[in-house]
Amino acid sequence: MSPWEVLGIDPTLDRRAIKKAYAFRLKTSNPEDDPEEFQELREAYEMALALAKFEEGGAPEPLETPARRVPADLLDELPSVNRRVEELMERVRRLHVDESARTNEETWRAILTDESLWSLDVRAQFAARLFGFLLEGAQDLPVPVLVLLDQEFRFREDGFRLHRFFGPPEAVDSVLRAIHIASTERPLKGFENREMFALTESRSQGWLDDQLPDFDGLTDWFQRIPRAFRYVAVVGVLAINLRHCPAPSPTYRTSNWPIATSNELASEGEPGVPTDPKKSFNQIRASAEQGDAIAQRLLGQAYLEGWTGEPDGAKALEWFLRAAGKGDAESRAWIGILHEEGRGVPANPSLAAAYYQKAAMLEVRLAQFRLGRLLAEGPDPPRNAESAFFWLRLASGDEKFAAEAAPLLAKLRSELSPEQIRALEERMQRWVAHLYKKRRAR
Amino acid sequence: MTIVGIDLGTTNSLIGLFRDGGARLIPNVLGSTLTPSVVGLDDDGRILVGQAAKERLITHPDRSVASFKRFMGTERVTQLGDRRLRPEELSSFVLRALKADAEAHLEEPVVEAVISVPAYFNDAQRKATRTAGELAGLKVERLVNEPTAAAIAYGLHEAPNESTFLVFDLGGGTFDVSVLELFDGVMEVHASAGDNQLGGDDFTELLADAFLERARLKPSALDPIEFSVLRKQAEIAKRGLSNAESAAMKLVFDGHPREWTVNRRDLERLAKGLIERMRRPVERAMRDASMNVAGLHAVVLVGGATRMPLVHALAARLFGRFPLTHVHPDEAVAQGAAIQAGLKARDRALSETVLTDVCPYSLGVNSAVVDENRNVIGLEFSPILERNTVVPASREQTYFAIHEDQMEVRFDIYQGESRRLENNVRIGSMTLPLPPGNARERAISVRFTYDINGLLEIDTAVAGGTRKTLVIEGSPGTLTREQIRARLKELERMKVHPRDTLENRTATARAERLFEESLGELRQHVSRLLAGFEAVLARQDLREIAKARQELVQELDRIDGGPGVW
Repeated sequence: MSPWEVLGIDPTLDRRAIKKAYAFRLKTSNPEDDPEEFQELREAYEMALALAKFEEGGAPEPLETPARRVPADLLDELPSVNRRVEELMERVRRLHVDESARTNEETWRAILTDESLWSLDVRAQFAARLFGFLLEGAQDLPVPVLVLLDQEFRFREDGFRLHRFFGPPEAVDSVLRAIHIASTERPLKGFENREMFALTESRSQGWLDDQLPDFDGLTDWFQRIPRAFRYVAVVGVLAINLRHCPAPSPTYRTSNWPIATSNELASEGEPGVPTDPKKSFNQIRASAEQGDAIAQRLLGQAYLEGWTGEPDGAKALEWFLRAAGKGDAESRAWIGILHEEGRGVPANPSLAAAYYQKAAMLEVRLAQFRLGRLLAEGPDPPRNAESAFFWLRLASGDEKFAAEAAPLLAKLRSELSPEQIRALEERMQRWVAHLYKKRRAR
Repeated sequence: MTIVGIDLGTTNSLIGLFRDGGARLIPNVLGSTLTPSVVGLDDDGRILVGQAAKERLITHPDRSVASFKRFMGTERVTQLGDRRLRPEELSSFVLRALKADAEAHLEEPVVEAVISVPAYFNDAQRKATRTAGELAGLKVERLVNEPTAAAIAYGLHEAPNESTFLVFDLGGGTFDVSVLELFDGVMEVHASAGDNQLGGDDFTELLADAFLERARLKPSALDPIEFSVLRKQAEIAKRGLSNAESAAMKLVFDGHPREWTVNRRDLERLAKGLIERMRRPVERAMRDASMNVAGLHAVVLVGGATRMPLVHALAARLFGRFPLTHVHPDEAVAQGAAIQAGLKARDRALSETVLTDVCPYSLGVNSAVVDENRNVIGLEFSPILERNTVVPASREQTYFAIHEDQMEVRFDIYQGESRRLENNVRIGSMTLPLPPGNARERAISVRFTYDINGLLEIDTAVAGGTRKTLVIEGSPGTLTREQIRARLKELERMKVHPRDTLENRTATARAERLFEESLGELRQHVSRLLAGFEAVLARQDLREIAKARQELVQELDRIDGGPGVW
């Protein structure tokens, strides 16, 4: 059952409606009397809310503050929280370039005990900015200073969130590692070290050239890693076989993974194309059930493609929703497909477009293509030649979609004026450049 | 059958019930809703609870005990005269006294109760609270988290519908923070965090220590009576500073009076570390609730210790606004517990209200980290239930045996947030036999179910084996069924001071305390008052006793500044 069915409403991304339905159902499925029914309701509620929140753009943005310096004449115009954060950051920068003060713990302590840091909002923003500052290359601070900053802001405890908000992941890991080594005064031992290594390597593939993942490189790289850590890669390689491999999701969990599982996967023989769909299916399902977002999406795809029987749209939706609830962008594109094609759910192209839109913003080519096509064709969602052109052009960056997009684009070109096309092309370039810069900056 | 709601506090305990659409607190025999959580052994060997025992903290420190809530869930034993009592037994005496008050008030037996616990209480501490209830002859229908209880009291009566607020609960011994949202009759806790070893008592200790330091005295130089006098002075000074800029502490040592006038700045300076410790749970709760200050409609202070101006100042600094103290800070938790009792009893006035709470800490097991040759190279915490999951909740993880010939697996159960096991709290362990077979085929699923009372149940299933529920063993702070039964028998043999003479006993205990504290003329005056009252008591005329007691209490009020000062 989809979360909305459990809540007894039509699919919606309206938070208010979701909460209302939950409150209504809660009066009969309350936690006192029926723990199991309550848990089912609760899960549906959280998932529906997570989706709504994601669609609203509530994902990684909140902590993403500009890396640039704010010009002094604009400082006064900022809301007071931001202004105070800017002032503190200015002190941090000045301190960092002053060779003698920089290595002095006390000068840092003076900033950390600033009265303005008692405000929770200032504190949260400053902590994020400070981590961003470390990411930009300031992790060369002396050990006592790193330890002090970590004691104050608990960066290591917050690794998961930091990964969500900052990229690229290997850089986040390297800062956390520097802090960890500083705090424990010994190098990371055993698994911790190697796990981080494995994690870093697998992630870095997606960020190497600021473009879509280099699938061939990933396979190549797989041969180089020790057997024990291949699990990370196994899922990755399976993903390649399913064609739409995204940039590795930051929600990718390995830290809780019981290592025996990875041994098991690693000992299944050489990786590659799943020769036995059933076996692969079981592997993916095991990972999915443990909460791995990518495996959950893969499982959804497996159900949709009918690996082990008849294709099952409803089951597929269930798993896509789970993955999407964890922030997996590509799952959103797949949920859109289900809604567009009416598989497992009633066909609803407008809702499909809403799903595509968010995934498209997160650079999922599949979603860009599907959204462009919907907008090019109309009437549900309403036809919009300009937006259609924009998305189809972006999707064409991937040759998988270029051929299919070409006739649609040709038709749109004939409709749009040369000025409109030029404006759209410019907008597109700006957007691509913006994404590129954003990644570089991070 | 009425279900009562009880706030079993570190400093004071309260009892109430839900009637006519609202929470009503029940006064004790002395007419106060606050019963000090103090237990003592009277000269005749009977157990004394409440204000009388609190008076005797000064005169008989070796036969009186307070703040035992801080030891709940541990094996710490308190020596009272010749008795050795566990924290849950001491708590059970307080509960019995409250129960007697409620029964006298309602004129019917009370057997079912909702008891509040700090949100940050762990499994052993919760179980101990439940055991305390059982030992007092109460069926504990529900354990409710204190900040949640306080929030219900605020939410039901004062909060606008559709609002999000933070409850900042600093009691005598524990500190809790919860972020809640209210919508369409649903009270939903988004996140809780806390420190179960931080409370108003710590501020008292700071003042007492600072006094000793200034007077160049070693704590070991004081005898138990001097020590409890000092603590009392510190407590009074701490409270005095809530209303005045400065307060005096006095102690006669070696015949020389020592005095220190402490001001608010002194206390703030001393409490710097405690204040910083309070910031962390607030940060964590806000972060876990994905909340920023602008999203909060109100910050509500509850718990007696939030009367301290420095706590108000802290809240104002953290949130950039002044906090609310609408609810009577001492009574909010008890009111909430009473409302929860009403919910439990399905009071019609609450039929449209549903409350959901969270598990404030992560729970999980140790897991081995092995290399490619299955050599164990480390252990780490593998969380199964993540903190701030809405309860009741049930989550499962799968684990595998490490070795081919492994006969059993041992899981240690931990509570905490650190990946390193040693930074978390071990709350028990369990051992599971494995059927013979390939390590890879013997998948062990471990299911953690956290119930609505915050108690943990663990189910395990081995592939090819049978499912079974495991009892956590080896948790040092918990009593087994048999132990509880044995303890109950033991406790029944102990005599408790009868409720109907408690008023007299409290008055005499207070006079005895004043005698101890005063010198010269005043001391003789107290002595005469006491002798006069004892003579009246001996004549056993109830009306005469009541009148004499009233006069005595008035006189004592005049001497030590009125009731409630201590």
